[in-house]
Amino acid sequence: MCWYKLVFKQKQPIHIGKFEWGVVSETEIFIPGWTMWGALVNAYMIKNKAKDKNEIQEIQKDFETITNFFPSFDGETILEPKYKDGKFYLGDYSAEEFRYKYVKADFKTAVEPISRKAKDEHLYEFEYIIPEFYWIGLIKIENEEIKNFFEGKKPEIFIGGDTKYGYGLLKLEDSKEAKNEDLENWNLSNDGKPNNKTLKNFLEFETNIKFEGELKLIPELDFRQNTPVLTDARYFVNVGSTVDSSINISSYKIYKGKFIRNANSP
Amino acid sequence: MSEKNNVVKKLEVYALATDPIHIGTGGYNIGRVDNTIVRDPITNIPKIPGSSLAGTWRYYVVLETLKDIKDKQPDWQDIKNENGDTIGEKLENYDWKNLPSSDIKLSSWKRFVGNQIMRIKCAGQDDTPDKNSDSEENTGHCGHCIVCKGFGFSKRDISWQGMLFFSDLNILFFPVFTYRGTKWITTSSRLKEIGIEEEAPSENKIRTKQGDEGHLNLGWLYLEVESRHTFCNEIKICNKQENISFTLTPEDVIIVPENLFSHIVNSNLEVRTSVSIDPITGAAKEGALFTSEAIPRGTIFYGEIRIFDKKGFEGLEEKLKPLPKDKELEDALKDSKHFYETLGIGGMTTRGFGRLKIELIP
Repeated sequence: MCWYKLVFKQKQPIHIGKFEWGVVSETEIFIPGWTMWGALVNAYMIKNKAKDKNEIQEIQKDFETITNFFPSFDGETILEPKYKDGKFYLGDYSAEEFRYKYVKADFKTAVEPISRKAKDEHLYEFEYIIPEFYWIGLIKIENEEIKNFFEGKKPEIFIGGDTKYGYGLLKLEDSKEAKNEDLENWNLSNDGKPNNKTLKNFLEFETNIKFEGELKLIPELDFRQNTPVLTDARYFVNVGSTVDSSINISSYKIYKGKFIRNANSP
Repeated sequence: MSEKNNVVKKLEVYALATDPIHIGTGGYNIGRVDNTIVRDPITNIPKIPGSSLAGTWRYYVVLETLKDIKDKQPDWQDIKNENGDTIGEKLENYDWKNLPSSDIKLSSWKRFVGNQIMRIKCAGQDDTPDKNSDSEENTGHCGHCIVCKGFGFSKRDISWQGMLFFSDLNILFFPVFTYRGTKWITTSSRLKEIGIEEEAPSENKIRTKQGDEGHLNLGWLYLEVESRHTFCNEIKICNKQENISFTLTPEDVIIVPENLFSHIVNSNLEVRTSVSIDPITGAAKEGALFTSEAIPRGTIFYGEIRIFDKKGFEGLEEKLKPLPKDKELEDALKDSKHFYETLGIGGMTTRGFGRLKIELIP
């Protein structure tokens, strides 16, 4: 029962769905915990067949205590999220600079199978982060089988969008027990509570929280049918924001990259 | 190289362009060519995107299946009247009940029970993603056949990612004109991908089989030949039965430095100029001249397809049962790849572009 630091090497471009502006599918520039959670559960279930729905739910639970993942050039230090002059930064890059340098876009269209011509009004632009990074985050593992999953043959996972078409492949480069300074660096206590520094995970907003940064409405969606079903939506203080020290941290715990008040736990 | 564990089967894909290949960027252009082609953003080398490969192959599997089973499929009503709680169960119980014994020879993947309700619309984008997967009047993806289960589908009641994952097809050997005839350039990192260890040449130098040419032109670039390359075996791109499909001899291959590969490829793409003709005068139409670039005929590509055995997911949702076996999906891809040799991939396939010869190697 301990925290692990996972280091993935990005092997393919990745698209982490963020927003759609008309025909542009924008990508997020870090990997939210819930996206990583989905990719890990998927990869684990391909390797370890579940007997029934209960077992599937157990597996889903096993991966829930996980942080967001941030890019790194060297596989050691992440580009820290922060706000500077009102702008969101990853390391020394403002979001705009990061996008300019490391996010590219493809133009694509659907094709009508029978006539084989481009389908009318289906041109879209698809953004992705180029494969120049390691991605680092933490996960708490309480189950021996999950530990073996990371420590055995290094798993490959597919993350984000268009994973069937040459996007999304990450390969686990390294997994080791997180040291105290790792937890400190990720603003986490051993039992998954936040400490009062710059956030690396989203923090559920309450009216008494004073912070410097940005507020985000985060929906959680179930994609198992064509029209995704909204399973949860709340306001969160964005990663990179700095929170006033008066916040009562004992009432929060981490869940898929978000600090959620215990009372509101799913 | 190929690998197989109990959940993921990798197939190597080799493709020879028998026509120029044009995968357009949707009219997005910078520079001297009107219709540009898709490139890798990091290396700037043209490629065939995985989505283009997956989309065409999906269509070709549908074509290959329907040509043999179209007049043998039962009516929807017959399936509906069959025993079973879900459409999947009914299809399993019906199991080609009225198929004449002479058709028993149909290959196993074509007899996959879901194919009993396969339609041409299972290819391409779904027309009716807002309908349920067991909806009778549904005209989009059926959600049950080997194509929907293998390539994925998305309906109102259930979405399924599919079991087939396609990588991009990247250029492995690229043909260029030299005064000693056409040669195929590659780099040591590209050879490494197919399991051939070969040292890279020094900066601005190249390596050939003979190694004593002094200098050689690759298109307009005139480069010094540094030394011999060491691999001596023919590169046979063939299937398991040793039925050789295409071969490159060591004499055909030149190894170039990594940093020059993109320049040489982009300098030697095919650029075709077209114009509309005014049917009345027979003369070129004013303002209708346009240029298209394409990857030239003779280019050899390399990529891979992974087949995920997702039996573990059947417990997630009754509607997903039954899932095809990985061998059935592999055979479906193999039996339908011949369509690339006639119908091709990408744009302008009615005008001499797009045909590929594909080999799949487990």
